[in-house]
Amino acid sequence: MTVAELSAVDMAQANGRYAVELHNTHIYYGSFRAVKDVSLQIERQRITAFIGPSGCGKSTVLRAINRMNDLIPGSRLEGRILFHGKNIYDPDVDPVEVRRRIGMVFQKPNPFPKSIYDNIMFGPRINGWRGTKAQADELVERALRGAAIWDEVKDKLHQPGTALSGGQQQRLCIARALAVQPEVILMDEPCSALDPISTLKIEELMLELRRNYTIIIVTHNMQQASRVSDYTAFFLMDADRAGQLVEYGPTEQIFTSPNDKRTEDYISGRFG
Amino acid sequence: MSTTLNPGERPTGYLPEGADINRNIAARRLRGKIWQALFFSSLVIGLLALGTLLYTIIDDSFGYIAVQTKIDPEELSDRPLAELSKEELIEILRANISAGLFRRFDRDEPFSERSKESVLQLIEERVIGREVVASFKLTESLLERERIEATVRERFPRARLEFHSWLNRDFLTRPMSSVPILAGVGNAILGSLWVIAITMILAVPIGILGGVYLEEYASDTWYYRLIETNINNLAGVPSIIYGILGLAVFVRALEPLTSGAAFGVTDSNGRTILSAGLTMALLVLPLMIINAREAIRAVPQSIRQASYGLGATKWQTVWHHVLPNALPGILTGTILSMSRAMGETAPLIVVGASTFVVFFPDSVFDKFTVIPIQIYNWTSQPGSQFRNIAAAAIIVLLVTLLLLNATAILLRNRFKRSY
Amino acid sequence: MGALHSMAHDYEYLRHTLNAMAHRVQTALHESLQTLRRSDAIGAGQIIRDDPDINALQQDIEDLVARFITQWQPLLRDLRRVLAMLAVASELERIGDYARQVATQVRRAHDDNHPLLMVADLLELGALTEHILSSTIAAFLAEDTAAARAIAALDDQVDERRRAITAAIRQAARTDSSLFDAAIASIGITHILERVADRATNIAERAIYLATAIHESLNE
Repeated sequence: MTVAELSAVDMAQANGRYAVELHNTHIYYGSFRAVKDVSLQIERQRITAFIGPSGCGKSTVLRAINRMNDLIPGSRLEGRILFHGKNIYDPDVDPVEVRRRIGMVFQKPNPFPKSIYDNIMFGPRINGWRGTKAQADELVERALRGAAIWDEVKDKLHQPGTALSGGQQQRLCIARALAVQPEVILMDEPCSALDPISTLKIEELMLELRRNYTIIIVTHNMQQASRVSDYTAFFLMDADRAGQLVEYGPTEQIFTSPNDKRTEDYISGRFG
Repeated sequence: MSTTLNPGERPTGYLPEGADINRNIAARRLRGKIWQALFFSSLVIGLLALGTLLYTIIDDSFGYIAVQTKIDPEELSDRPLAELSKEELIEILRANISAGLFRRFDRDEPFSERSKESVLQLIEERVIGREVVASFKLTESLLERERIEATVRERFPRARLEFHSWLNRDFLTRPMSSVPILAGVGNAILGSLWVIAITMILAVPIGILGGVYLEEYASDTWYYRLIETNINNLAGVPSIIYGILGLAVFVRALEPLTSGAAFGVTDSNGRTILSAGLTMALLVLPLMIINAREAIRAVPQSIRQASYGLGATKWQTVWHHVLPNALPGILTGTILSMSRAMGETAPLIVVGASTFVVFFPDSVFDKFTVIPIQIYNWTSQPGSQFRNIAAAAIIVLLVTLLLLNATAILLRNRFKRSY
Repeated sequence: MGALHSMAHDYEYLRHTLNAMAHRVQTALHESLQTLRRSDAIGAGQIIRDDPDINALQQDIEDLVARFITQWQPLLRDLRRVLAMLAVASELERIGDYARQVATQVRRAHDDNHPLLMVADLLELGALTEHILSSTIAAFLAEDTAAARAIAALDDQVDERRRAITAAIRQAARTDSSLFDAAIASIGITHILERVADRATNIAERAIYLATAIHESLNE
């Protein structure tokens, strides 16, 4: 699938309600089934939170959405994950293209040991960026502004990104993800390594990004999930230690009156 | 398992209380002190060994020598010989050696074509005939000067005593000679550089690329694991085995190539710089691969993930992130491999380094010698003065190795990145 | 603060404090009705003086709830439970006020020397209110939704009784205008008792919300 083809599909489905749809997805690591039969539809330009105890497969599902799991030898997926109606696991789909359209922010801030400017421009460059220096400057500023970190770094664009504070590094990583103009941003516990104030800044940023992007966040922080997300999916591992989706619905409902007893027990801290 | 364990109750075993605590702590501290002393004494033994080595070498490299000449240079000319013209020097030579010998020199290489230095050298060798009749160690030279003077006066009445540094500029630039005081490591240094150059040209790229493939591309299958195991084992194979391999493959089987016969070189056999370089490359290749893999593995996984997450291909990730971040480690390993190759002797003896080469190598198809071979050769020669030049050559080798290691450290610090 | 206990332990302590407050309020209501029976101005004064103790207990519960939320960040039922306790404490504080108001009426009637009317009926209404209060508190603490819903029927009985008593007092006051002040005071007490029942019903609603996360109105 080329950029051009995907953009064509994109046009046709621009008004579709769901950004990503999982249909009967099973994920295996070797012979071990890590995730069992997950089906869920992620609404466009909304924040969806994945919650659940450690090892429940929520991160695995998240990483399946931009095929990061492919990097793990022996991982395999059954079922379909649709992005703009196209199964991203079809043999004619290149994971590299998927990852450009579905960006990712990781648990530990991981800026490249390069300048802030080069951190932002890396994505565009490797994806075949063509533009003048001025256009590149504009792209960098746009990405940094998008991640609400422009004012803090505009005077030190050529200093290493690793010199920033943890919270700033994470926003730099978000800016870096924005620079390749993704539609969906996956966040894998983006605040777990940050202090409360940095966490709050990232959360505000997420609400800001929600206007243009679809965001999926894995979090262990119930309060965070209830603060920022529009929808919440609760995962739990079953008797075979395979993760499965227990309940999925509007965050409001999950955090006031969940339908499943296990969801209620988890949210109110009875286990996990 | 007992089900009645109460976490609040005291356990029934024994933990020291009261004065016992202090005794117990004192005993533990004592044990620590004993080990610490043991570690320290190991360090001291190491330092002593190193000190002894350095002392022996330096002791042999400097000291008095007793020199006697057949004729005093001042009797040949009223000006210093070095200031005379080539023609004047030729005249002095003609006057002081037999006509037959003079004609033979002229036949070897006509005097008209010889340089002034070459003529001067002939005068020194044949006319003046400077000869070192005795040499003394540094310590005795410094502490027992009177005794040395007495000995020399008694045994060599015509000899002059002078302080000599066996390690000097001439020693570094001159080729091998059968006369210790005229011998140098110049061509051995050059030989070492040639061999190292060929080794590195082959081993560095192959090592790095092999390391990248094994680390980033190879899947976890039985044949790759077999290859890995073999590489790890090869790194531990004694170097003489590589020498035998080199002899069989490069010197014998590939002789047409390594002797240069295939390229129109006629006057050599397979025992060339090229064979030596190829053998050394084989020797350091496992080290290079292992080292490159270590350096690549030390690049944090999070950097790779970040790169893939932005839509980078595997090659882009390797090229833009893995290699640049692994570079300091790879460089360090390269230089350490280079020092290894530099100091290696055994395989080169087998491959056939010449121990007596008087000319400077100027192509890869030349016979060669290297510094460790020279040292090995000189230490096995009779005559105390060979010991002196062997010591001086050891200093040259050690300094070269130290410089290489220092470069490794500098490069590592220069390129080190923080994540 | 600090000194980690289990969440269950902290909750139990909160529940215990609420129970103690409920007990104080029930006692105050009961005593105020006893002073009504005996027309006991001195006892009534005592009840009035004791009311600030109940207010202090309510503040204790507020503090405990705030600390509980800070330390445990409760969600779902745990959150609803402590929020309900906060609300119930506030209802109980109001009921304590009503007990004081009953005592005030008793003392004023004694001081102004106009004996209250239909005391036996008032006491009967009071007993019913007391019953509602004690069963509603029991239902709340037990988180028993069925018992809580049953309170609604009792509340209806209270309204019925009150209307009957009020009508009778009016009737009496119309025939004998000297009873006017006593009638006003007695009607005031029926009002107060009816409010107690209303507050108790609110507590029952809290119990239902706590258990089901649904706001159900029992006061239709």
